[in-house]
Amino acid sequence: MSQFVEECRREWKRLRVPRALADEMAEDLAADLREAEADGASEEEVLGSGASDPRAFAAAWANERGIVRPRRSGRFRTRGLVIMGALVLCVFLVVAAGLIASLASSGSTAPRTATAVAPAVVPGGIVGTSIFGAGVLPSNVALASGRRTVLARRPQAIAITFGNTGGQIVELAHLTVQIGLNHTYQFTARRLVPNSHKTVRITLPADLPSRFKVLAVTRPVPGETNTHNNERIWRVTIGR
Amino acid sequence: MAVEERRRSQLLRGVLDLCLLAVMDEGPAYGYEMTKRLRARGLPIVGEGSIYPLLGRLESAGLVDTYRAESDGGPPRKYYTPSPRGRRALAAGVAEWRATRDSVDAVLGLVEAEVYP
Repeated sequence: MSQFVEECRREWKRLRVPRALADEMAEDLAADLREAEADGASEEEVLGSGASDPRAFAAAWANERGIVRPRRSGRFRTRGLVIMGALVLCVFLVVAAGLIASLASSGSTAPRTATAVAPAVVPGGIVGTSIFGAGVLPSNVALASGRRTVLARRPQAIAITFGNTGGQIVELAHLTVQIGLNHTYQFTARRLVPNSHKTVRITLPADLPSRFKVLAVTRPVPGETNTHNNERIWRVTIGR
Repeated sequence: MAVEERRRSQLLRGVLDLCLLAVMDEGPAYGYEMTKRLRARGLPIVGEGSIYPLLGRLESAGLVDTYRAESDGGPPRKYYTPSPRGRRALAAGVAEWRATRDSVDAVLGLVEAEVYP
Protein backbone atom coordinates (compact mmCIF):
# COMPACT_ATOMS: atom_id res chain seq x y z
CA MET A 1 0.00 0.00 0.00
CA SER A 2 2.91 2.38 0.68
CA GLN A 3 3.78 2.06 -3.00
CA PHE A 4 0.55 3.89 -3.81
CA VAL A 5 1.43 6.71 -1.41
CA GLU A 6 4.93 6.98 -2.87
CA GLU A 7 3.48 7.33 -6.37
CA CYS A 8 1.19 10.05 -5.09
CA ARG A 9 4.16 11.84 -3.53
CA ARG A 10 6.03 11.76 -6.84
CA GLU A 11 3.02 13.23 -8.64
CA TRP A 12 2.59 16.00 -6.07
CA LYS A 13 6.25 16.85 -6.40
CA ARG A 14 5.90 16.98 -10.17
CA LEU A 15 2.87 19.26 -9.78
CA ARG A 16 4.86 21.48 -7.39
CA VAL A 17 2.43 20.99 -4.54
CA PRO A 18 3.93 22.70 -1.46
CA ARG A 19 5.94 20.17 0.55
CA ALA A 20 4.04 20.65 3.81
CA LEU A 21 0.69 20.03 2.14
CA ALA A 22 2.00 17.01 0.23
CA ASP A 23 3.35 15.58 3.51
CA GLU A 24 0.01 16.13 5.18
CA MET A 25 -1.95 14.40 2.43
CA ALA A 26 0.54 11.54 2.26
CA GLU A 27 0.38 10.97 6.03
CA ASP A 28 -3.42 11.00 6.06
CA LEU A 29 -3.59 8.65 3.12
CA ALA A 30 -0.99 6.26 4.57
CA ALA A 31 -2.80 6.19 7.94
CA ASP A 32 -6.15 5.49 6.24
CA LEU A 33 -4.65 2.71 4.11
CA ARG A 34 -2.96 1.13 7.14
CA GLU A 35 -6.23 1.16 9.09
CA ALA A 36 -8.11 -0.29 6.13
CA GLU A 37 -5.53 -3.04 5.78
CA ALA A 38 -5.91 -3.86 9.46
CA ASP A 39 -9.70 -4.05 8.91
CA GLY A 40 -9.17 -6.42 6.02
CA ALA A 41 -10.53 -3.85 3.55
CA SER A 42 -9.12 -3.53 0.05
CA GLU A 43 -7.45 -0.42 -1.38
CA GLU A 44 -10.43 0.02 -3.62
CA GLU A 45 -12.73 0.27 -0.64
CA VAL A 46 -10.74 3.28 0.53
CA LEU A 47 -9.79 4.84 -2.77
CA GLY A 48 -12.69 3.90 -5.01
CA SER A 49 -11.80 3.84 -8.67
CA GLY A 50 -8.72 5.97 -7.87
CA ALA A 51 -6.95 2.84 -6.65
CA SER A 52 -6.04 1.88 -10.20
CA ASP A 53 -4.28 5.12 -11.12
CA PRO A 54 -2.29 6.78 -8.31
CA ARG A 55 -1.07 9.65 -10.49
CA ALA A 56 -4.55 10.63 -11.61
CA PHE A 57 -5.80 10.22 -8.05
CA ALA A 58 -3.03 12.46 -6.65
CA ALA A 59 -3.52 15.09 -9.34
CA ALA A 60 -7.30 15.16 -8.82
CA TRP A 61 -6.93 15.56 -5.07
CA ALA A 62 -4.38 18.38 -5.35
CA ASN A 63 -6.40 20.13 -8.05
CA GLU A 64 -9.60 19.98 -6.05
CA ARG A 65 -7.81 21.43 -3.04
CA GLY A 66 -6.47 24.20 -5.25
CA ILE A 67 -2.87 23.64 -4.23
CA VAL A 68 -1.21 22.96 -7.57
CA ARG A 69 1.30 25.71 -8.22
CA PRO A 70 1.17 27.40 -11.60
CA ARG A 71 3.92 26.31 -13.95
CA ARG A 72 5.08 29.78 -14.87
CA SER A 73 7.76 31.05 -12.53
CA GLY A 74 8.97 34.61 -12.00
CA ARG A 75 11.95 33.89 -14.23
CA PHE A 76 9.65 33.02 -17.12
CA ARG A 77 7.50 36.05 -16.48
CA THR A 78 10.57 38.28 -16.62
CA ARG A 79 11.64 36.61 -19.86
CA GLY A 80 8.13 37.17 -21.24
CA LEU A 81 8.30 40.86 -20.41
CA VAL A 82 11.67 41.18 -22.13
CA ILE A 83 10.31 39.51 -25.28
CA MET A 84 7.21 41.70 -25.18
CA GLY A 85 9.38 44.80 -24.83
CA ALA A 86 11.50 43.75 -27.80
CA LEU A 87 8.37 43.23 -29.91
CA VAL A 88 7.01 46.66 -29.00
CA LEU A 89 10.36 48.21 -29.94
CA CYS A 90 10.31 46.41 -33.33
CA VAL A 91 6.78 47.61 -34.07
CA PHE A 92 7.78 51.15 -33.13
CA LEU A 93 10.79 51.05 -35.46
CA VAL A 94 8.71 49.73 -38.38
CA VAL A 95 6.05 52.42 -37.88
CA ALA A 96 8.69 55.13 -37.61
CA ALA A 97 10.37 53.92 -40.81
CA GLY A 98 7.01 53.94 -42.58
CA LEU A 99 6.29 57.49 -41.47
CA ILE A 100 9.66 58.68 -42.67
CA ALA A 101 9.14 57.01 -46.05
CA SER A 102 5.67 58.52 -46.29
CA LEU A 103 6.92 62.03 -45.57
CA ALA A 104 9.69 61.59 -48.08
CA SER A 105 7.21 60.75 -50.85
CA SER A 106 4.59 63.36 -49.91
CA GLY A 107 5.51 65.52 -52.90
CA SER A 108 4.21 62.91 -55.30
CA THR A 109 0.94 63.71 -57.06
CA ALA A 110 0.03 60.15 -57.80
CA PRO A 111 -3.49 59.35 -56.61
CA ARG A 112 -3.59 57.28 -53.47
CA THR A 113 -5.88 54.37 -53.03
CA ALA A 114 -7.00 53.22 -49.64
CA THR A 115 -5.74 49.82 -48.66
CA ALA A 116 -8.59 47.35 -48.84
CA VAL A 117 -9.66 46.19 -45.42
CA ALA A 118 -9.47 42.41 -45.19
CA PRO A 119 -12.85 40.84 -44.57
CA ALA A 120 -13.35 40.14 -40.90
CA VAL A 121 -13.41 36.44 -41.38
CA VAL A 122 -11.22 33.70 -40.02
CA PRO A 123 -11.10 30.15 -41.28
CA GLY A 124 -13.87 27.92 -40.08
CA GLY A 125 -17.38 27.49 -41.36
CA ILE A 126 -19.28 27.63 -38.08
CA VAL A 127 -20.85 30.93 -37.16
CA GLY A 128 -22.62 31.77 -33.96
CA THR A 129 -22.87 32.89 -30.40
CA SER A 130 -23.81 31.00 -27.27
CA ILE A 131 -24.85 31.67 -23.71
CA PHE A 132 -22.10 30.29 -21.50
CA GLY A 133 -23.50 30.65 -18.02
CA ALA A 134 -24.72 32.87 -15.23
CA GLY A 135 -23.90 33.58 -11.63
CA VAL A 136 -25.19 35.54 -8.70
CA LEU A 137 -23.05 38.38 -7.37
CA PRO A 138 -21.33 39.29 -5.10
CA SER A 139 -21.05 35.74 -3.75
CA ASN A 140 -20.35 34.52 -7.29
CA VAL A 141 -22.57 31.47 -6.99
CA ALA A 142 -22.91 29.88 -10.41
CA LEU A 143 -26.40 29.14 -11.62
CA ALA A 144 -26.34 25.55 -12.76
CA SER A 145 -29.01 24.19 -15.04
CA GLY A 146 -31.85 22.92 -12.96
CA ARG A 147 -30.59 24.60 -9.83
CA ARG A 148 -33.47 25.91 -7.82
CA THR A 149 -31.98 27.45 -4.73
CA VAL A 150 -29.10 29.85 -4.58
CA LEU A 151 -27.57 30.12 -1.15
CA ALA A 152 -26.42 33.66 -1.61
CA ARG A 153 -26.40 36.25 1.08
CA ARG A 154 -28.07 39.43 -0.08
CA PRO A 155 -27.60 38.85 -3.82
CA GLN A 156 -27.21 42.13 -5.64
CA ALA A 157 -26.71 41.27 -9.25
CA ILE A 158 -26.64 38.59 -11.87
CA ALA A 159 -23.74 38.13 -14.25
CA ILE A 160 -24.34 36.48 -17.59
CA THR A 161 -21.56 35.38 -19.90
CA PHE A 162 -22.02 34.91 -23.61
CA GLY A 163 -19.53 34.57 -26.38
CA ASN A 164 -18.50 33.64 -29.86
CA THR A 165 -18.37 29.89 -30.26
CA GLY A 166 -18.01 29.93 -34.01
CA GLY A 167 -14.96 30.14 -36.20
CA GLN A 168 -15.62 33.60 -37.59
CA ILE A 169 -15.64 37.07 -36.12
CA VAL A 170 -19.08 38.25 -35.04
CA GLU A 171 -19.24 41.95 -35.78
CA LEU A 172 -22.33 42.62 -33.70
CA ALA A 173 -23.78 40.29 -31.09
CA HIS A 174 -27.07 41.02 -29.34
CA LEU A 175 -28.01 39.69 -25.93
CA THR A 176 -31.44 40.04 -24.37
CA VAL A 177 -31.97 39.20 -20.73
CA GLN A 178 -35.30 38.96 -19.01
CA ILE A 179 -35.37 38.83 -15.23
CA GLY A 180 -38.69 38.00 -13.66
CA LEU A 181 -41.76 39.03 -15.58
CA ASN A 182 -41.20 42.73 -16.00
CA HIS A 183 -37.52 43.47 -16.51
CA THR A 184 -35.85 43.18 -19.89
CA TYR A 185 -32.34 44.31 -20.74
CA GLN A 186 -30.59 44.61 -24.10
CA PHE A 187 -26.84 44.42 -24.67
CA THR A 188 -24.64 44.51 -27.71
CA ALA A 189 -21.04 43.45 -28.12
CA ARG A 190 -18.97 44.52 -31.10
CA ARG A 191 -16.41 42.47 -32.91
CA LEU A 192 -16.36 39.28 -30.90
CA VAL A 193 -13.44 37.21 -32.14
CA PRO A 194 -13.69 33.39 -32.07
CA ASN A 195 -13.51 31.87 -28.59
CA SER A 196 -13.95 35.23 -26.88
CA HIS A 197 -16.66 36.09 -24.41
CA LYS A 198 -18.29 39.02 -22.64
CA THR A 199 -19.93 39.19 -19.25
CA VAL A 200 -22.74 41.58 -18.46
CA ARG A 201 -23.72 42.50 -14.92
CA ILE A 202 -27.32 43.32 -14.14
CA THR A 203 -28.34 44.75 -10.81
CA LEU A 204 -31.30 42.80 -9.49
CA PRO A 205 -34.46 44.89 -9.46
CA ALA A 206 -35.73 45.67 -5.97
CA ASP A 207 -39.22 44.40 -6.71
CA LEU A 208 -38.19 40.84 -7.57
CA PRO A 209 -39.89 38.05 -5.63
CA SER A 210 -37.68 35.43 -3.99
CA ARG A 211 -38.45 33.08 -6.89
CA PHE A 212 -37.94 34.29 -10.40
CA LYS A 213 -36.87 33.20 -13.80
CA VAL A 214 -33.85 34.46 -15.77
CA LEU A 215 -33.96 34.13 -19.53
CA ALA A 216 -30.93 34.96 -21.67
CA VAL A 217 -31.09 34.93 -25.46
CA THR A 218 -28.50 35.80 -28.08
CA ARG A 219 -29.86 36.84 -31.43
CA PRO A 220 -28.72 34.51 -34.25
CA VAL A 221 -26.04 36.17 -36.34
CA PRO A 222 -26.10 36.05 -40.16
CA GLY A 223 -25.24 32.54 -41.28
CA GLU A 224 -25.83 30.90 -37.91
CA THR A 225 -27.47 27.53 -38.27
CA ASN A 226 -27.17 25.98 -34.84
CA THR A 227 -29.17 28.10 -32.42
CA HIS A 228 -29.32 25.40 -29.78
CA ASN A 229 -27.14 27.30 -27.31
CA ASN A 230 -28.57 30.74 -27.97
CA GLU A 231 -31.05 30.53 -25.12
CA ARG A 232 -30.79 29.56 -21.45
CA ILE A 233 -33.32 29.72 -18.67
CA TRP A 234 -32.53 29.54 -14.98
CA ARG A 235 -35.16 29.23 -12.31
CA VAL A 236 -33.83 30.92 -9.23
CA THR A 237 -34.93 30.79 -5.64
CA ILE A 238 -32.92 33.03 -3.40
CA GLY A 239 -32.20 31.22 -0.16
CA ARG A 240 -31.02 32.57 3.15
CA MET B 1 -18.61 -1.79 -16.74
CA ALA B 2 -22.18 -3.03 -16.90
CA VAL B 3 -24.93 -0.57 -17.71
CA GLU B 4 -26.39 -0.95 -14.21
CA GLU B 5 -23.04 -0.27 -12.55
CA ARG B 6 -22.41 2.75 -14.73
CA ARG B 7 -25.81 4.19 -13.91
CA ARG B 8 -25.31 3.64 -10.20
CA SER B 9 -21.93 5.30 -10.43
CA GLN B 10 -23.36 8.31 -12.27
CA LEU B 11 -26.23 8.66 -9.83
CA LEU B 12 -23.92 8.44 -6.84
CA ARG B 13 -21.44 10.91 -8.29
CA GLY B 14 -24.05 13.66 -8.15
CA VAL B 15 -24.79 13.21 -4.46
CA LEU B 16 -21.59 11.82 -2.94
CA ASP B 17 -20.65 15.28 -1.65
CA LEU B 18 -23.99 15.46 0.18
CA CYS B 19 -23.43 11.98 1.61
CA LEU B 20 -20.03 13.05 2.90
CA LEU B 21 -21.44 16.20 4.48
CA ALA B 22 -24.20 14.09 6.03
CA VAL B 23 -21.89 11.49 7.60
CA MET B 24 -19.48 14.11 8.93
CA ASP B 25 -22.47 16.01 10.32
CA GLU B 26 -23.03 13.03 12.65
CA GLY B 27 -19.65 13.79 14.20
CA PRO B 28 -16.20 14.88 13.01
CA ALA B 29 -14.58 12.19 10.91
CA TYR B 30 -11.35 11.52 9.00
CA GLY B 31 -11.29 10.11 5.49
CA TYR B 32 -11.41 6.38 6.13
CA GLU B 33 -13.90 6.84 8.96
CA MET B 34 -16.29 8.46 6.47
CA THR B 35 -15.79 5.52 4.13
CA LYS B 36 -16.73 3.17 6.97
CA ARG B 37 -19.82 5.20 7.85
CA LEU B 38 -20.95 5.14 4.23
CA ARG B 39 -20.32 1.39 4.02
CA ALA B 40 -22.30 0.82 7.23
CA ARG B 41 -25.27 2.45 5.50
CA GLY B 42 -24.98 0.22 2.48
CA LEU B 43 -23.05 2.66 0.33
CA PRO B 44 -19.61 1.21 -0.41
CA ILE B 45 -17.56 3.40 -2.73
CA VAL B 46 -15.91 0.47 -4.52
CA GLY B 47 -15.80 1.36 -8.19
CA GLU B 48 -16.73 4.98 -7.51
CA GLY B 49 -14.52 8.05 -7.61
CA SER B 50 -12.47 8.50 -4.49
CA ILE B 51 -13.75 10.63 -1.64
CA TYR B 52 -10.42 12.40 -1.18
CA PRO B 53 -10.61 14.77 -4.16
CA LEU B 54 -14.19 15.45 -3.14
CA LEU B 55 -13.09 16.32 0.39
CA GLY B 56 -10.51 18.64 -1.17
CA ARG B 57 -13.24 20.34 -3.17
CA LEU B 58 -15.45 20.76 -0.10
CA GLU B 59 -12.50 22.21 1.77
CA SER B 60 -11.52 24.69 -0.92
CA ALA B 61 -15.17 25.74 -1.24
CA GLY B 62 -15.30 26.51 2.47
CA LEU B 63 -17.99 23.90 3.10
CA VAL B 64 -15.98 22.01 5.73
CA ASP B 65 -13.83 22.94 8.70
CA THR B 66 -10.82 20.76 9.48
CA TYR B 67 -8.50 20.15 12.36
CA ARG B 68 -5.84 17.61 13.25
CA ALA B 69 -6.19 15.41 16.31
CA GLU B 70 -5.04 12.04 17.58
CA SER B 71 -7.26 9.19 16.45
CA ASP B 72 -8.06 6.31 18.82
CA GLY B 73 -4.57 5.11 19.65
CA GLY B 74 -3.42 5.93 16.13
CA PRO B 75 -1.52 8.74 14.44
CA PRO B 76 -2.91 12.29 14.19
CA ARG B 77 -5.63 12.47 11.56
CA LYS B 78 -7.30 15.29 9.72
CA TYR B 79 -10.88 15.55 10.93
CA TYR B 80 -13.61 17.10 8.82
CA THR B 81 -16.82 18.68 10.00
CA PRO B 82 -19.35 20.76 8.01
CA SER B 83 -18.88 24.51 8.30
CA PRO B 84 -22.01 26.65 8.81
CA ARG B 85 -22.00 27.20 5.05
CA GLY B 86 -21.62 23.46 4.52
CA ARG B 87 -24.65 22.77 6.72
CA ARG B 88 -26.72 25.20 4.66
CA ALA B 89 -25.48 23.57 1.48
CA LEU B 90 -26.38 20.16 2.93
CA ALA B 91 -29.89 21.29 3.78
CA ALA B 92 -30.40 22.78 0.33
CA GLY B 93 -28.88 19.72 -1.33
CA VAL B 94 -31.11 17.33 0.58
CA ALA B 95 -34.18 19.33 -0.43
CA GLU B 96 -32.98 19.32 -4.02
CA TRP B 97 -32.29 15.57 -3.91
CA ARG B 98 -35.75 14.82 -2.49
CA ALA B 99 -37.48 16.99 -5.05
CA THR B 100 -35.51 15.31 -7.84
CA ARG B 101 -36.14 11.84 -6.41
CA ASP B 102 -39.88 12.55 -6.15
CA SER B 103 -40.04 13.87 -9.71
CA VAL B 104 -38.18 10.84 -11.05
CA ASP B 105 -40.37 8.52 -8.97
CA ALA B 106 -43.44 10.18 -10.43
CA VAL B 107 -42.22 9.27 -13.89
CA LEU B 108 -40.68 5.86 -13.21
CA GLY B 109 -43.51 4.78 -10.95
CA LEU B 110 -45.82 4.72 -13.95
CA VAL B 111 -43.39 2.56 -15.89
CA GLU B 112 -42.92 0.08 -13.09
CA ALA B 113 -46.56 -1.02 -13.27
CA GLU B 114 -46.07 -2.13 -16.87
CA VAL B 115 -42.93 -4.16 -16.34
CA TYR B 116 -43.40 -7.91 -16.07
CA PRO B 117 -40.87 -10.35 -14.68
